[in-house]
Amino acid sequence: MKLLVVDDSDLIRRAIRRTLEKDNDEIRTAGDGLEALRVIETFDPDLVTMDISMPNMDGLTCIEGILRVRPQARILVISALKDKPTAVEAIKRGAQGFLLKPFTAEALSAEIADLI
Amino acid sequence: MNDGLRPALLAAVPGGGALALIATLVLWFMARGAGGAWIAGVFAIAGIAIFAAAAFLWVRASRTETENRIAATERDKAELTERARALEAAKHESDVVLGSVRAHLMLIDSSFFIQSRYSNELEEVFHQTEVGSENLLTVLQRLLSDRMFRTSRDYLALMFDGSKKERTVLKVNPLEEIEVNVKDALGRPALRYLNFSFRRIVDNGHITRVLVSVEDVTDRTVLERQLRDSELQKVRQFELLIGILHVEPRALDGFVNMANEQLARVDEALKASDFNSAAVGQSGLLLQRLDIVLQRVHNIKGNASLLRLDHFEKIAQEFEQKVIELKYRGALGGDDFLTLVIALADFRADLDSLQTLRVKLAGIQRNVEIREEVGDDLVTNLRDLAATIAKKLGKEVRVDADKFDTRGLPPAQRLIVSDVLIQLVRNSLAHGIEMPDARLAAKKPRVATIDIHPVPDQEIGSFAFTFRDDGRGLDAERIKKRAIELGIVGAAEAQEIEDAHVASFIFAPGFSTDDEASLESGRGMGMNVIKQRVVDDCGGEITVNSEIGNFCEFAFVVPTVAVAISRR
Repeated sequence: MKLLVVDDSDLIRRAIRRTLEKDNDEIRTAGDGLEALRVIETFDPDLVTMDISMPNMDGLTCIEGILRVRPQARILVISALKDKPTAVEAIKRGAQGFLLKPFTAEALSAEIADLI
Repeated sequence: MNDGLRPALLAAVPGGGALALIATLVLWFMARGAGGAWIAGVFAIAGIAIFAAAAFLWVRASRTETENRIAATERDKAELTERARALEAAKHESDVVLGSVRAHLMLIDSSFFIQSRYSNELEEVFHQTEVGSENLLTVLQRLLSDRMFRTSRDYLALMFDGSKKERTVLKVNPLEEIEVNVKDALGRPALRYLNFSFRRIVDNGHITRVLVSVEDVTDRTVLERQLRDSELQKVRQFELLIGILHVEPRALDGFVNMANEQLARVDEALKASDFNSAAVGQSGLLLQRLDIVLQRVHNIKGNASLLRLDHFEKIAQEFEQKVIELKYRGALGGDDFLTLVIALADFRADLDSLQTLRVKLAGIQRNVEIREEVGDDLVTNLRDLAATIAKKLGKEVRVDADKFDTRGLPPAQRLIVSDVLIQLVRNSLAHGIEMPDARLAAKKPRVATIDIHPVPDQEIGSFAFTFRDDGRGLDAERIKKRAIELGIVGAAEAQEIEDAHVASFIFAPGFSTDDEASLESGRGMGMNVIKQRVVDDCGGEITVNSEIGNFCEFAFVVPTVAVAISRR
């Protein structure tokens, strides 16, 4: 399975990569929404983990951008925000899962298993 | 059969017969006009026959119809009865369910209309009647802010969107513990907290309805918040308490007074009218006022830092920062005034807490003082010590020290007196005081007495007291024997010594009349240590007075000023 990790925190990107690399064939990362859109031009991920608050392009906008190019991709929002309207908006725009930060490796794996 | 069709058919049959009769009559006239009477006759017969047939058919049709109608009615009746019974049962069932649940349930359809059956308390929860057949969105719009309303609308749509997993949608429920504005029974606006939860109802793979449960969680939420606030308050109070423990009570009082004074000046300087006039261009005056506030708060900060009252230093610093920010901002208005008033109120509240804590601490300190006035702790401790040792040795003793008090002594001397008395109590019980039976046999009271008495009228700079027990007294012969054994004195020399001087042997290092050292009397170091502390270290005096079989008394004079040492 091919995975794209979008998060502006290097720490989180590495944490997610560490947790998921054994079950995935290829993992790419992006530090913001714009970078993510550039990555998917040549990379077709089965799954995208998506932060919401990021510089340059936020997660909400990025979800739509990704689904336009890669409608088959499943998107798991991983965000620290406790703001429910944004979470609802993310699901509305096509994210299929939602995981609240901070998260455990088990919670992340369970969430992904549920998505694919 | 349909009610509308039945009269139409019944009308058609006689209508057809009548039409046939009219047509026959017309044809008969036409035929007669043409001259052929027999043709007219044939037509007439045919017409009558048709009419008769039609009439016959009509009667038959109408009879069959009536029979059918009766049968259908019977069927309908049975069907209706059956359906009514089923509905009754269903209604009863849902009445029981909806009427008894604590959570308030309703079903909404895919257009979010609340179905007419809903639980009783729903109206109460929403503070409105006739909830049924209303749109849930309309209800929510009245309760929620615009933003939350829009989100809720999106959310309900997601609930009915089969392409979204229910689990995921449930996770982002925006209507958990949501703050709503309702009107109370008297029509006044009231703040409530509602908890909405949702569940899809799926029929043949389609989400037909959503079960919504609503709960008024105001009491719980308010309690939780109060609890959280009071926890925070407790933590803050604790920090405050820890922060003031190291400060002298008088210094603390001084700080509280100073801070209150300074805050009163801040209060005087902060006038709402200044901020209002600042808005119309008189900012010069306002800046002057801010400078006064700044100076006062700075004073408080300085004092707090001097006393290491970290919390107050911190909040004064924050207050100061707010004032500085305002000073360098261009335009000021009523909101800025509020900022400072709130900061002032917060500071006052903390100062009040400090005052309260200070008073509580003073109470504790007073209690301690009262306890001390009951007597000297040393006496209490000596009594406890004597009782413990006596019990262990099977002896009985009473310590009489009512007039004895070391509290006026300097700490160093008090410590010496304390050490001496502890050693003497141990020695008395180990060597002097007899077992109760032996005392009774010697015609002495069963319970021995230790008497500790101050000796009044001493010259200034010294403390004198006596320690006496009514035990067996010093046995001069035994002491001599022991002194010879220990090599303190030669056997011949010992015979020369008067009994009155024998007592001095017990102060020799290593002297003990007991063959075995015991915990209570130590290893014979006791009296030697006493001599060292009182005589050698601080130039005091020890006198021994004893009567064999009756008592042993030690008298001490302990100098309480350092110069006394020169008397050595």
